[in-house]
Amino acid sequence: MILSAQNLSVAYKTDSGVVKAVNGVSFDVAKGESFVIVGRSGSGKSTVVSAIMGLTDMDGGKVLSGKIMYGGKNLLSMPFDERRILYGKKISVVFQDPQSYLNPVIKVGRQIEEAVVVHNRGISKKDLSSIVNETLKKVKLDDLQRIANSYPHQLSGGQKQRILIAMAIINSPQLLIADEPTTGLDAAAQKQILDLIEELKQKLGLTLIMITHNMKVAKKYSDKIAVMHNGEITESASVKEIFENPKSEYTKMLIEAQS
Amino acid sequence: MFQYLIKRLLYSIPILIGITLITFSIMYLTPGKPTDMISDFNAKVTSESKERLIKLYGLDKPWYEQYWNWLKRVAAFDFGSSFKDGRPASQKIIERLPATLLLNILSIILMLIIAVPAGVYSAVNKYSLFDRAATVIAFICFSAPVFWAALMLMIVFGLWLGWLPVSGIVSFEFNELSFLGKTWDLAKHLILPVFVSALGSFAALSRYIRSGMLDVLKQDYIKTAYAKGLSRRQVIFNHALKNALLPLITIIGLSIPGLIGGSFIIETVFSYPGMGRLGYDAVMARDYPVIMGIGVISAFLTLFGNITADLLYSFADPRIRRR
Repeated sequence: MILSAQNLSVAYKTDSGVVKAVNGVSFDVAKGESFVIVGRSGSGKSTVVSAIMGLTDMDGGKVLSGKIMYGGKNLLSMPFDERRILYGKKISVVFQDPQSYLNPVIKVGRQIEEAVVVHNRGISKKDLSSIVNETLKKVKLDDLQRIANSYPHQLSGGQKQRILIAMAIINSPQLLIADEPTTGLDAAAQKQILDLIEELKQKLGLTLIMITHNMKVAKKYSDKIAVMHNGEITESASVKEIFENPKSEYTKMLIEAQS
Repeated sequence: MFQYLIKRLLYSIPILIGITLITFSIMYLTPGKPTDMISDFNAKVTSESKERLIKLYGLDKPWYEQYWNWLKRVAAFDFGSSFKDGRPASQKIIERLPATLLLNILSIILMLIIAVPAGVYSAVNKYSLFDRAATVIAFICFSAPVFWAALMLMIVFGLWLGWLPVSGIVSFEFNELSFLGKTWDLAKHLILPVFVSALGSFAALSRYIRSGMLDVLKQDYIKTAYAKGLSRRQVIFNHALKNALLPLITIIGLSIPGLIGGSFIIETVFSYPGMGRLGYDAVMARDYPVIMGIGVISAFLTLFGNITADLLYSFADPRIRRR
């Protein structure tokens, strides 16, 4: 078991009171598997990602109860400085909207380098540039010099998402979380990005947690699926079981809606 | 970039002319004539000599002709002579300009030194004791009228405590002082005016920076930065600060007219020998050439400030950089 959530509950304070976005969610992710959380927008699936990445506070939310266990330790009760050593190195994330997840005023080359330097202090310039170039090739970006010297607004959505993926895999993490990684991309780019993530997973031996609203994506890229609805996991099983023998009505509805 | 600059400079010509036209109209519509000062209070001046003065200054002509004549002279960089003492208006203004620039530049620097760290610290530690205290102080500073704050500080530090001089820019014995003594004397005279003129804008700016920083800290790319494993300090200094401080360039550019306008009050209250007080005296005496000269220079500095701010902004923010 690489990561497991136990009875996780997260609430947000909104103008209309406290909203429980995630309510008693538990799941286990085994090493090397692709675990996909499916649900419609507002089902609480991105809130789970925030909780794993320690970003719940920043979203204005609060973890009410539960644990997220990683390497025998609870991420949620770990001190910030202990936790941040894991992020970007052991646990990485690719967020949903490439447009807004890159800093607009810093060249993308520097933003990628930063991901390396933070976990490898005193790395030589030569090593740094070779690891950056290697990673940019891994995510299938050409014209590396130009891209590294660009600002985010000078790149296409697909290129930006590749940059974010490069940033996430550059330290060869154990666990990659992809939160709706194809939002805001055109259909062709969507497939390319998903295939790239799948390919990297195989090549680098990653464990993958993917969040999506798309049952077809879930079917194609997952080993195990958890269906989320109103902050709860209604059903969790292998892909085969979910599609051949769905137990809950909600899962049946999702499958029908997208077939 | 170069084309853009030329375009901006060309655009500012009609704006400049518009400003002078409005200044001239307001001045012309104000009751009282420049000749009143030198004649009505002097029993020896006959009405014939008053007429002569009016003719000499061209005040008998219709206003548009007066404005046109003024504009023609200004095009040749002749701002005319002061009605009060006959000295060239441009010379009178240029004499006063360094003192005003010194006051304003120091107060902008002071304002930035206090407001930027205070705003950033407030945002990073939202709702902390510091943030709450800063909020209260900012609102007090913002709502206190400048002339009132100036008078209160004069009473406390000038009269009661006797620490600081309350008027002028140097002491009577300035010329006999050593270099260090001169510097200290100047500094002592500047403390209150600089502080007062920084006060109001400091309050507004620190609030602005606080909200800007809070906004940036909510952005998605800050999440990316945390997800990379950066420390809080690295996130704030490497990722948030630059984005939060970008609007500062525009704010400083836009605050230039405010500082020149504000110095009318401050310079008058502190009897500070700058452009503001020259302007005030000129308005009181209806000294048309000096008023118009100050109008032109203020307008010029304002436009210059705006264009500089836009240029700097396009250098600082890659998204609006022009080629």
